[in-house]
Amino acid sequence: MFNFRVIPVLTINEGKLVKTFKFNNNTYVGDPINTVKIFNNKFVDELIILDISKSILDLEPDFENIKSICSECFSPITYGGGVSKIDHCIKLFELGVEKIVFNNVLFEDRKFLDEFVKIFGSQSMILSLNIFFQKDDYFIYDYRKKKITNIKLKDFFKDILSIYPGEILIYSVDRDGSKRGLDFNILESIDNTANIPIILAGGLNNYEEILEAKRMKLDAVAGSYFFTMHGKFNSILISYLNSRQIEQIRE
Amino acid sequence: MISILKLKSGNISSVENMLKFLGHKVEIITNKSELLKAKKLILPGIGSFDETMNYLKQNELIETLRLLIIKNEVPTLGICMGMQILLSSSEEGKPCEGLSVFPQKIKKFDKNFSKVPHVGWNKLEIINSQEMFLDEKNFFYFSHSYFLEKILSENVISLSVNGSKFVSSIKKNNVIGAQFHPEKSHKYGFHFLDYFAEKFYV
Repeated sequence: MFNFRVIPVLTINEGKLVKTFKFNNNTYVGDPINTVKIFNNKFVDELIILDISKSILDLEPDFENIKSICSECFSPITYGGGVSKIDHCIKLFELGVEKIVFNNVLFEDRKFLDEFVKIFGSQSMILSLNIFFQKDDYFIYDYRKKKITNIKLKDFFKDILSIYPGEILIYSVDRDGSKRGLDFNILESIDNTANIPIILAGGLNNYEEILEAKRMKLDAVAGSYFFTMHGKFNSILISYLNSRQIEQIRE
Repeated sequence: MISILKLKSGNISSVENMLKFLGHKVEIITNKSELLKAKKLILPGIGSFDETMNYLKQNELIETLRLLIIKNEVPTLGICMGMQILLSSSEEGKPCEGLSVFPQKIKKFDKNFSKVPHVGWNKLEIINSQEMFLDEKNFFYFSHSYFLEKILSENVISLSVNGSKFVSSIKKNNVIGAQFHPEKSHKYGFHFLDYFAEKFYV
C-alpha cells in the first residue's frame, strides 16, 4: 500500500541552517550541506529545504548552494524560498530538486502557479499553508508580515484546491519549535474530499506521534526540531529514524 | 560511458550524481550527433508528455531516438516521463504520438486509484525480474499522475499498488522503463542503476 513518509524540514537563513521557534528567533544549527550529508547517510525518506531569507527579502534562490545540497542527497529534495519565475523552476529541477514548495505566491500570483502546474505537473508542486490557532479556529499566518490573517484555514484550503497542488504542507506556526506535538486537530478543520496528500508539520516531538500519524492515514509528517535538536537546552543533534523504526513505518 | 539525454526540465543532475557516486562514467547530451554516438542511454524527465514530445520534435530527436532504441538496440533506460514516452500516447496534455517502442497508452489515475498524484515510496511486486535481482523488500520513490495500466505480461518487470495495481517497470529487448525514480531512491536506486550501468546489455 501507499507509504507514509517522515520528512525533516531544514530552514536556511543567509546560507546557514537555523531552527526557528514560532517562525522567529532563529537559532544556528550548522552547515546545511553537512547536515544534508548526514540525513543522506541515514537514508532519509525525503527532505524539505526552506530558505527563509530568500522569501522574506524577495531574493532569487541560491542556486549554487542548492546544487551542492542536491549533489549530497540521493533522496527526494523539496525546495522553497524565493521561487517566483518559471526559469527558477527549470533551473531547480535541473539541479536535482524534486518538488518546489510555494507559499507567498499563493497570495500574490496564482496565475504563476497555474502555469507551473501546466508545465511541470501537479506532482512537482507542494503548497505550504502556515497556520495559527486562535480563538478556537485555525487561521492563515502571513510570516512575512509576522501577522495572523483573518483567513480561515477551512476556507483557504477549499480555495487552493483549484490550483491542483500535488501535496499540501500544513505547518502549525504556534507549535513550531514548541515540542508540544503535532496538532492533529487541524485535520478535522479541513475538507479533504479531493484526497490530496497532506504533510503535517509543527511541534513533532516523538516517535509515537509519527506512528499515530501513520495510523491516521496521513501521507507524511514533517519536523525540524525533532531531527535537529534535543533536550532541555536545545542542543544540536542531527538524527533520523533508526532502521528498525524505518521498517516499522514501512509495514 | 552512459549518456543522459537532456530533456526539457529534466532531473538530469540527480541521475548524473548517483551514477558518478557509483563510479560510472556519465555525459549529458543534447543533440542528434551526440545521441548517435551514445552506447548506453538514459531518458530522464519530469514534466508533461506533450511538452516532452514537443521538445523532442523541435530538436529533431524523435526519429533518431527510435532508430537508436529499436534498430541500433542501444541499451536504454527511461525514467518516469522517460518511460512514459516509450509508449504510443498519453491522456496527458494535447494529443501527440510517443516514441511507440511499446504500443500501449498512458492513462490518468482515476477514481479507482487512491492518490492522485501518486507521490512517495512504494513497493514493487516483481513479475519478471530475471537477472535484475530486484527484491520485493525494495522501496522506490514515485511521483506521477499518469500511469501505464496494461502491457504484454512478458514486458512487465513489476507492478505496484496505488489503490489499484499499475505497471511500475517494463522491459523489452534493450529497453527498461521505470515509472519510479531510482535516482531518488537512495540504496535501492544504487542497486537499480548499477544493474543498468554494469549488467544490462542486449
